[in-house]
Amino acid sequence: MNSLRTLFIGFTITFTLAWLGLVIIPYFQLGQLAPQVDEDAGMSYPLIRSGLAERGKQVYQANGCIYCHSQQVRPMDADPIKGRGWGPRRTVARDYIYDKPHLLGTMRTGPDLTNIGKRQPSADWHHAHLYAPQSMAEYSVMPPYRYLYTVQKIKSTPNPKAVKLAKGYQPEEGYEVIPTPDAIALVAYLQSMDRTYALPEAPLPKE
Amino acid sequence: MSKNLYGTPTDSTDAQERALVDASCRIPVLLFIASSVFWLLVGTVFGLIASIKLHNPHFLIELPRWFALYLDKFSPDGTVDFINAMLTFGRVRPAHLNIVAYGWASASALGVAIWLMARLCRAPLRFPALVTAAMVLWNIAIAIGTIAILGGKSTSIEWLEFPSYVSIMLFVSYALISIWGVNMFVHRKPGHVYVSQWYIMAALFWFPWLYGTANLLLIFAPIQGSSQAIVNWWYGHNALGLWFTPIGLAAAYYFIPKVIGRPVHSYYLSAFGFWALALFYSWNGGHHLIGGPLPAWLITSSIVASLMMFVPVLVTAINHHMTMKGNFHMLHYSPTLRFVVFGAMSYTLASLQGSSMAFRSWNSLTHFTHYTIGHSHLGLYAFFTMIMFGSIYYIVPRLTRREWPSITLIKIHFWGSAYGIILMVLVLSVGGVVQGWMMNNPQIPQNTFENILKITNPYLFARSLSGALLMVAHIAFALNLTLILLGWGKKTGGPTLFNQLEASEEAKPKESTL
Amino acid sequence: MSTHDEHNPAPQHSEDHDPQLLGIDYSEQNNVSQIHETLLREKPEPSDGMEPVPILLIAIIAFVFSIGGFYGGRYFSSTDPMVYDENPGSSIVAAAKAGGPTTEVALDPIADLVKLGKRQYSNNCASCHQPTGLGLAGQYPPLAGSEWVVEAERPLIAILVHGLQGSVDVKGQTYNGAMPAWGKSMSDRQIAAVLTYIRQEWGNTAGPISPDQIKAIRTELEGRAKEWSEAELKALPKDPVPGGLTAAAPVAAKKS
Repeated sequence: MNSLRTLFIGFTITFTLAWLGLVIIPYFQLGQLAPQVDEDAGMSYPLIRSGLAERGKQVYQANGCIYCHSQQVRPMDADPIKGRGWGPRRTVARDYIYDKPHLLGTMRTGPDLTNIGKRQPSADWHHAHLYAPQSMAEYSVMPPYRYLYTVQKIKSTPNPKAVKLAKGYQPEEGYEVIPTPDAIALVAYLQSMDRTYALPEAPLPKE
Repeated sequence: MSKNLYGTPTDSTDAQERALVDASCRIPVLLFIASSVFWLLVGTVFGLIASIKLHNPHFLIELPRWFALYLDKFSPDGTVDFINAMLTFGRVRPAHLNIVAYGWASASALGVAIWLMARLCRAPLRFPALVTAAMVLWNIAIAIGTIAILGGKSTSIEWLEFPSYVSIMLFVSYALISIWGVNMFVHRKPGHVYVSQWYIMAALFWFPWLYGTANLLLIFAPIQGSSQAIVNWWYGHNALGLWFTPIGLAAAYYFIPKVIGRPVHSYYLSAFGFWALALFYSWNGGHHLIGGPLPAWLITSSIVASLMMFVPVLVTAINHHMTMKGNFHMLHYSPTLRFVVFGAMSYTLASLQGSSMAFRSWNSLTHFTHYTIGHSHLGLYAFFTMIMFGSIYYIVPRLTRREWPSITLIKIHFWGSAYGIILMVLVLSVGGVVQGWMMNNPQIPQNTFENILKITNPYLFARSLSGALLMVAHIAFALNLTLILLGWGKKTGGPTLFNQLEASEEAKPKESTL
Repeated sequence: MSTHDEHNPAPQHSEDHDPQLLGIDYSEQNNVSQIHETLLREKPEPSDGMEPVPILLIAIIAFVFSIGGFYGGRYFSSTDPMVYDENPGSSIVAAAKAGGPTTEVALDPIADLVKLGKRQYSNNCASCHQPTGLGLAGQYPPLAGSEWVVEAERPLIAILVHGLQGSVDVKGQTYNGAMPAWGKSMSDRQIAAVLTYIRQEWGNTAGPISPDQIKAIRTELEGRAKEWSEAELKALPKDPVPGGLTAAAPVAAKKS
């Protein structure tokens, strides 16, 4: 193999085969999927996020949440006995058509978040958890995201948006914790995460 | 033909040819190496910080209160928050990955590859100014990219977190070097093309295709989310398999026979191993997504390819081992050989582990756990980084015409790195298996999430200890490198070796079959 | 490969190879041979040996190929991108028919509900009410020993189905939070399970709640969209909710 031409032909053929198999063909098979429309209910799946939730997805990305949290349910994760209740069914390609970029993640230091909006719909809980994760789960290694919140003096009346914190995590007397727009958007995003609808290629198990 | 103390023929035409080649490479290669070691230090610091945060979540989460209050007085609103945000795990961790992958590993790969190509093509480096310019651009891109990630502008795509403007800079810098690389090969001295040259040419050819495609389809003109994952991991795995691995193997194929003065065992094994790697490695990407939202055919294809990787890995291991056979005593002396052989053995281990992780049954346990992180460090550090260390130990004396000032620092470096990475891989593998088993068996009451975190905590702490060991090793290395670059190394008296080379030992003529 | 034609003691200095032009500075060293010491001691450039490939290795490679081929053949179910199951013979229709894993046979319907309810609780409720059932002081009310949990069934079920808003007294303490509505996201069986679980855990000794009772409440309170307030809950009728478990026959085994 002393000639540049032989080598180049070899490099090109071997690389192109995998490029076709892992990039081009999947693009044609999975890159132009349509949502599932349920005309009776007037719904299309996956659910389209609100503008605020879309902004919240950007906050999720900017802060690297994918490095501890996954967003994909494997078949075993959906098992009623052996799963942790992270979803009633496995996720499939069509669940992610509106995710640019995908946020599938590869680590589960923390729980999977595919259906967190269903599992934990409370905004109060999310704000308290983001500001002080250990207040909601003492053993948690999630870092506090205090920079997403502002601690300010209480004006005449407490702000209705103020985060309700557990004792021991509250700011000093006369101060309250207000979520920044980023925090509000992030919580809206978390609340929007719900892939518990059925799809023909991923039916829900019978109760 | 007379021979010197080391048993090598003192044909100075040959040596002078190499001197000219080395002299032409001097500035760009030394600059690449020096800057890559700088990024290695920075990347190790980030890695250590990220590691500590995983067992101590309140470590370094905000500026000290007194400083924050002081800063608040004269800076615009939100400055303190902005700085605090830079310290969060979710930003420090991708900063670590990108700095070590692109700032350390890719830059040292380029430096070593340039020198290897120049040597093997037996022609002086053409257009060294171009390569130097590319290096400067590369470093600027890494610096900007790191600040961008810490500032919240990460793309959140694993292995491609640098924002688009940084990718363009890296791509341009890269293109300058790869065009040069092909040019160098075209102008080589006629004769037999050596195995390392195939690997380097392949890597220089494949990487822009990988990098360009991935950036285009994921960042510049993103395709639908449903098909992004496979492109992401096609890129991520091939950055390791078609970029770092070939350069690491090229270096191993050069330095092992070079240092011991024996030919590589079998040309046929080299060729077969090379083409088998080219054919199978590129299909592996889907094994990062087993159980994920991808069709069964894609996942199965990637698993089969991952299993088939046994073939090139076994072939390469046998080739290296048979080359080394009878010469293992040289490991007593040569730092280059020690690092490179450690690396080559780790290559076999890491690849075998990787193939085993592709089986769906084992994967269901280890996916999403620390086991995967242990594996990636086994590959990128124990294999690739150790081979780069060995290469740098060989190359720098030839470009600076001095010897390494301190054998003690080399010893600290070797043992710190070796024990550090062995400890890291061990604790993450065991911890990962425990984590995965507990995660998958929630029907057992003790396997609460709380207990998973409590039980993996000591493993993560031990990982931080291993990171501290690596930090010490890298500081020793950087110190030695700084000293030799500043001109503090000795100019005569033979190479810096681990143990004194007895004349009788080395000069036992092991006639090569030249 | 090195050229060993003739031993040449003095380096050749042609125009092209003038060391000065190429930047090798001999002014540092007087002795030319010193410059090259590092290079002189180098072994020759590496070369290829020509050992044949061992037969055993060929056999091992063939074996690996066959393992790969077997695995690929076994688990290559279809080229259809909508098929996610690697087991052949599993088409979309077949998957829909199979409908997922079987539920366990309910030999003891109450124990079955408690088991499901415990899982349900730790997934959905423990984050606020805590695994200990003690809640968080000032934030989330406790469930252990709570009169809302162990006494009347109707208000309890109503809270789960529609949620609760505004201040509420629990065990003498006031809480002012928002309990989300679980009626849309949890089935009758799931709500019944979690209620049965909390009513017998942490020292609570109240009776189980059946899925039929949840269904009955949904029908009874159909049309209600808002969360409940404490006052409204207290005003609900006090008669027992029909469909209770204690009187009924064991729940039939469910298989999907």
